[in-house]
Amino acid sequence: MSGITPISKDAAKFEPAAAPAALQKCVAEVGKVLLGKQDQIRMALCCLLARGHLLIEDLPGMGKTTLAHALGDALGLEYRRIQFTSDMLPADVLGTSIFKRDSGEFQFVEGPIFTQLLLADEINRTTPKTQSALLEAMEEKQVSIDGVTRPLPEPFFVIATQNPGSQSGTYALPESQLDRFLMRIEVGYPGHDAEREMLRAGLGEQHRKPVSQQMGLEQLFALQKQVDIQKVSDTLLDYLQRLVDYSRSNPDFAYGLSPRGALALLQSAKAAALLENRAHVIPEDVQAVLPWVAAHRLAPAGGTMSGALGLVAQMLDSVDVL
Amino acid sequence: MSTASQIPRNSIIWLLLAQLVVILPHTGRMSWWMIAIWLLCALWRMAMFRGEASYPGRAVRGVLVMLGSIGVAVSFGSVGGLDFAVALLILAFSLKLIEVRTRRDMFLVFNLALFIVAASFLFSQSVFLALYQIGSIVLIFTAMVATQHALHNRAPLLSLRKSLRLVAQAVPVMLLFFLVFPRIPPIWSVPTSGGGAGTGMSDSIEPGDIAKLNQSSKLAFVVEFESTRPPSIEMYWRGITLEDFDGRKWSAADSAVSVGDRSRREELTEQIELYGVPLRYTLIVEPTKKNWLFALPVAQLQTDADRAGMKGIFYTADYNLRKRTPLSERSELKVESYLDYRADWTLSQQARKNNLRLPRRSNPRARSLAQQMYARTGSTEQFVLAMQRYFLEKDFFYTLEPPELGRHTVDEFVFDTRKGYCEHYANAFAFMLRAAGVPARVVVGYQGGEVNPHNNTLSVRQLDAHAWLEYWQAGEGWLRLDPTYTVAPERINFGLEGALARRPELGASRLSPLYLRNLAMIKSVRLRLDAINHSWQRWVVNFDASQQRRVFERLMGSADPWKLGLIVAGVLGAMLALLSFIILRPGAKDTRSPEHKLYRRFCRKMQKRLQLRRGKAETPLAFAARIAAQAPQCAEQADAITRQYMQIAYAGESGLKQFKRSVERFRPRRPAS
Repeated sequence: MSGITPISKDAAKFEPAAAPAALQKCVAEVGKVLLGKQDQIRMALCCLLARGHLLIEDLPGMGKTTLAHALGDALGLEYRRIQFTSDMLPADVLGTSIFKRDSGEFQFVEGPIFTQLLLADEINRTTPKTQSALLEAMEEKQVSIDGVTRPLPEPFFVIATQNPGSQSGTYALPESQLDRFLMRIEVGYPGHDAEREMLRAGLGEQHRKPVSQQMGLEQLFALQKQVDIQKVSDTLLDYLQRLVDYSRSNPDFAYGLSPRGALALLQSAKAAALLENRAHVIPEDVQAVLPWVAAHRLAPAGGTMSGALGLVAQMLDSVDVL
Repeated sequence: MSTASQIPRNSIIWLLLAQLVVILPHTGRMSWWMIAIWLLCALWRMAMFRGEASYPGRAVRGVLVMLGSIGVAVSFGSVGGLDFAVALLILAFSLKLIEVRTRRDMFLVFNLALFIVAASFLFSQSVFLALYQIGSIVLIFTAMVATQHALHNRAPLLSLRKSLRLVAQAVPVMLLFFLVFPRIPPIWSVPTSGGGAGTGMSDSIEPGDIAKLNQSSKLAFVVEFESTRPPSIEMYWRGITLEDFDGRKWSAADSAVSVGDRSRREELTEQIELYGVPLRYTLIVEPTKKNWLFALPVAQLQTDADRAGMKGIFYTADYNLRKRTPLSERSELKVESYLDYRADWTLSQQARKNNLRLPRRSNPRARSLAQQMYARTGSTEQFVLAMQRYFLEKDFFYTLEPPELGRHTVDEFVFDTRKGYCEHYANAFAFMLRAAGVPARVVVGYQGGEVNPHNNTLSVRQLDAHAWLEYWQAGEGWLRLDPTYTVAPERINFGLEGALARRPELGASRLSPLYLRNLAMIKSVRLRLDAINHSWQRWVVNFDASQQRRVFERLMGSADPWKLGLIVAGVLGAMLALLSFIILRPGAKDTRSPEHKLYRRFCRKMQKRLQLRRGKAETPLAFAARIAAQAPQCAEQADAITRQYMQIAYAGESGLKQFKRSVERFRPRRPAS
């Protein structure tokens, strides 16, 4: 992976990097445990600010869990983790009602989903039934069991990880489910220097450095609200719509971006602008988030070749910014 | 195989479709097994498409090619010839289907397909075929476009749309070239196709020949009259006079063609007097592979047509039109005919002898009858009348299915069967006239024709073929005599089809397709289609050098080569200019905000002065950064302009005036060297 966005560096040059100190600190803090992955950390934050959910797709041992855990710590979120297995049932995620002998009543025992930051590890190891129970809860931000609807905590942020579909013993998420995730990112191998540093320090799951909290809930809510009111000009919407139209009209695409995909792209771009401490969105923001918002919502015509990222690159190259 | 050279799947489907459509018009000329081979290849290809079969090995292909080629050679009897060549082409076209692997192979197949489409016009040039083949070309192009699309493209109709657009765009160019492209006479001659024999006149007849000919509704020629059409009874399209009689067969004397060929019409007046105003008309003659032409007597070419290059046509001694080379393509002749004439009022000894000669001991009964009748009447005029009376009184019968005749055809016909067709009557009359000492000869040609009310043309078909005779009377010259008219006047007045409709007992059971042709509804549709096709032949297929010159003369007064060149260059130039304008129009898409236009102007300035061009995907900021790196002398200004633009376009701030000033003032400096 050649860095998430080479262009955003120019943007940083132009608007002096003075993002809200807390956000910057968050990135730095998480960066302490996930070395050399600034861009991925920024995208994860971006996703959180845009109130979306994040899917991390990569091989085992690339630091997916580390990223999720560190992010939870840095933002001071209540954190839980589900390790998905193939024999897991929806009740194991959502919770279940248990008969209490002493009171003679059923009592609801919350599942691990009742948390602010949920790490759904290896989501494609479990059956579609359990997957969809989780994904529905993500979409609705509430859980309905035995006729009672229980709201999930605020904020509710899911980081799901999955192994690439080609690995054995997995149930690939269908396209309709992938769409529930605002972004899909890959972590990728660390750079040479970062890996050397990691090896030298002996960093790993076992001896993780403590990550200190950088932000309170109030601050997080405020930032999320700020994302909603980011300034978006017609010139920018023109660009965004040209991108979406391109994906719909070019025969290389099996299908184009949906309206939900277009909204996701805009929301993410707004969050990316906020990370740059800017109150309006510029094309660089769209370009920065496009691969991670669009790639899992697109497929090349024919569907047999993997290459959605190639399609996005083609889209970026072919669509005029102005 | 790399994916770059792989054939997209849609393309295969389109190719199969295109092949079917391309081969279809040729099926009439192909053997059934060739269609089977194509089907086999198509099925094989489909199996490959579905992954159920693999490419055939070298041996299998070799055997198929060998067997196929031998089969074609056997089926067509000979190596060479048009049918053979086309069949071989189609065979290759079919077999190629199971051999194509890469995109490049596909192009060979497309070229073959286009060639086969072109080859179909060697056999027919009708408007319907032309329309059909436009469809074929669209399909071929669709397959071609599909070859260039993504491997798993799921929108097959996209290729069709593109191909339709391509063809539509080619139409104006095609029309232009049709009008102005020089009509070069063929450099090579196309070998004649073997199927020509069987339909059409021959230069000898025996009883039964014309009846056979009359069962075909194939077109012989079409006539366009410049003024009023003469009545049916006047329309004897004279073609060949037959002087030699061997007791059974009448055939053309060699002398009639070789002696006295006259290519200038002045020479026609030697032994001929023409009266009145000539009837002027145009003949559009179907190719017959024969030399003779049919026209109303006495015909000559109209002068301007003479000049227009209708070369190789001459007049025979018996006042017919002939072409020096066989008619191998449809041709147009402008002819004028003097229906009122007197020809050969004196007859040379040789000619007299030729036209009296009869085989000895042939038809003794008819011979003696004729001699008795002549002795009784005393004059040629009276004798002819007496003969006609005899044929009327003796209950002769006109039929399409006359009984077979033996050795003495005239005797058997006149005294026994008394059932005959036009050639029987002509045969009997001519024989008896000669027997009585009156020079006579049989004439074959066409009689009447079918009028198409939609374009007022006359179509003469093989079923209008007819035989009559001419006898010579001192002082009068050759006189036409049609005994069929005496026996069955409706044949002459209403044509064969009309006669059949009025008198079904003529024995038309074998001619039932003729009945079908004349059912009211079918007839009206047929005539309408004929009219369309005729206009097509007239104005498109026959658009030759002289017509081209006429069009230009009408448009510009003269048709000098340099003017033609100028027109071609001018129209092509205009089309290119229009295209370039549409594509390169400055600021073609600039219907948007003013700051957008201003920023574009800034970009144009950068490009013009410093050859720095903003890439499509390059954002203003990235462009500014690049300017800073590559043209530092402009960095400050460019940065300021970009900053202003960003503020206006994305942050929604004001300051357009200032921005405009900055852009207008901006002069990219060249680097100080």
